[in-house]
Amino acid sequence: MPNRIEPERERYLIQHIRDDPRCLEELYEAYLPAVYGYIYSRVNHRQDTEDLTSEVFLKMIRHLDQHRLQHSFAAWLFTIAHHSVIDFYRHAAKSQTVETIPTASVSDPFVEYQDLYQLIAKLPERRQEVITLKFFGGLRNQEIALILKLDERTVASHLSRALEDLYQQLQEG
Amino acid sequence: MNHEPWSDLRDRLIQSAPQPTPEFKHRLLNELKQELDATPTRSRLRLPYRWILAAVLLMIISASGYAVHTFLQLQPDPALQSVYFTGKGIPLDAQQTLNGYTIALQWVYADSGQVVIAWTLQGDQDTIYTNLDSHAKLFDASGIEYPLAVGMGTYAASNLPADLSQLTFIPESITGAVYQFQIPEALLGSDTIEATLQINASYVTAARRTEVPFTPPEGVYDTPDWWVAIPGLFEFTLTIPVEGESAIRSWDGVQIAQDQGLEVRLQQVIVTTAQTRFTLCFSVPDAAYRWTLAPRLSIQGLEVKDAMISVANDDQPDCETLIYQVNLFDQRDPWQFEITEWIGFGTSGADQRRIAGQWRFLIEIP
Repeated sequence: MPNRIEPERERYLIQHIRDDPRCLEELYEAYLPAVYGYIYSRVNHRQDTEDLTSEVFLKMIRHLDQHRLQHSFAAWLFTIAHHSVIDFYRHAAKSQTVETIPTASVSDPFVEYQDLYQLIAKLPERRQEVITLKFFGGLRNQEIALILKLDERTVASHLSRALEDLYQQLQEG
Repeated sequence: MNHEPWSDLRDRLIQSAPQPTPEFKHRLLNELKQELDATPTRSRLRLPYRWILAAVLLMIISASGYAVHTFLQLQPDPALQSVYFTGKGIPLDAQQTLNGYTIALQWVYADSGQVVIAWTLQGDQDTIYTNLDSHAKLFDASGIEYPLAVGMGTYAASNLPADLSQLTFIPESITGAVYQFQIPEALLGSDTIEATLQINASYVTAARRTEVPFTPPEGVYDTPDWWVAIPGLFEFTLTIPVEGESAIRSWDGVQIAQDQGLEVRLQQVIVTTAQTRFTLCFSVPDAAYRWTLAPRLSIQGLEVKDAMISVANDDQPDCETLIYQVNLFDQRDPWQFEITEWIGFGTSGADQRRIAGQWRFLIEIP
């Protein structure tokens, strides 16, 4: 799970991102793996993941002034990522009359984990979101609740049940 | 208790998180640096102008009743919020104690489309609730069940919607839920609802908080100490007056639309002050997939957004009920309702089929 920056440090980085290139680098180092991991788990295709990840970070730069410092930067950034994935599927739906959404090819990395990804993909949609934001995005339940507009306790409940389902499926498999 | 299986799974999930390639990482960082140079810093002097613009926009929105309506739809679960904010909930003094736990019904509300019931659970004062998992059933004397409306604000019906829980300020030693039920078609139009409510519940205690972030129960079959199932079934007999006139507008003239070689039949539209229900039937193009329809509803050229939930029709697997949780009762102009897409869900989340098209219905509801 990606390491989180201390909130104070994170606020400093955001405030000084235009003054000092190292601030951007530090934020980027902290959040790129998490955002990339989350998006990959939602679209399951490397090239699409790279395109969407680029889009998310470019939006972050362009709209950074809209982020309120007292709020969670991670939740704000992942809300952008979440909406980008939704837009991606909307666009895919418009451009494809009858076609399956892309799935991983053998040229993709992480083929060794495809069995696990497939199990995650079998979970109900909401649980998929919660488990990928949690373990690939490294987010706290409170942040996931903000992104998905759920009660924090509902997030915890989804997480618990998702893990239980995954565990059972792994046992059966 | 065995901690190992869950730890292994958590570790495996973390290890499996996809990572970007070094090339991509390097390339994107350079792009971001260029973007940062190209993006002008926004002066704080502009801020008041943005607020003025926002205020002007709000005034423009306020100038149109329907626009306000649409604006409000952006809030989660407008139906429940309106119940809460307008104080229409009828306070109740009904409670039942079983095995040291008391469930108290706080308020109820019913109108021509929904029944909302808010209740709290309390055990001893030392119990700190961090999660509530509850199940409820509402049915009339003849056994007709009120379907639970699983949608915005009542997701899984096991927790207080975030907005309501913040507003009600219940202490940690009390938990609760707000349930929203649909009124079944057979019971629409009643002035009073006579029904039985059954609740069973389990909860998670504060002991869970010692592990941050949240970790799942150890082992599938072990019941951890912090997970408590309350024995017994709480049962209440309710008589709830229906708010206002039991106003219903309905349309039963079947219309058929075809596109992409597929047919959609609009069977029925029921409009109440709380919600509008469209019943659609269709022949599935591939039985290996579970199909749902993406709708768009426009009235006077304005799209009704963000208030739609879909409910599978258990009695008719080839039919679906689409519910707009918003008051369209006074919208008398012709409605344009269309299906823009069929979405088929396979066995995995990534396995989806989508069929875009235009299945359009023009309806006038008496």
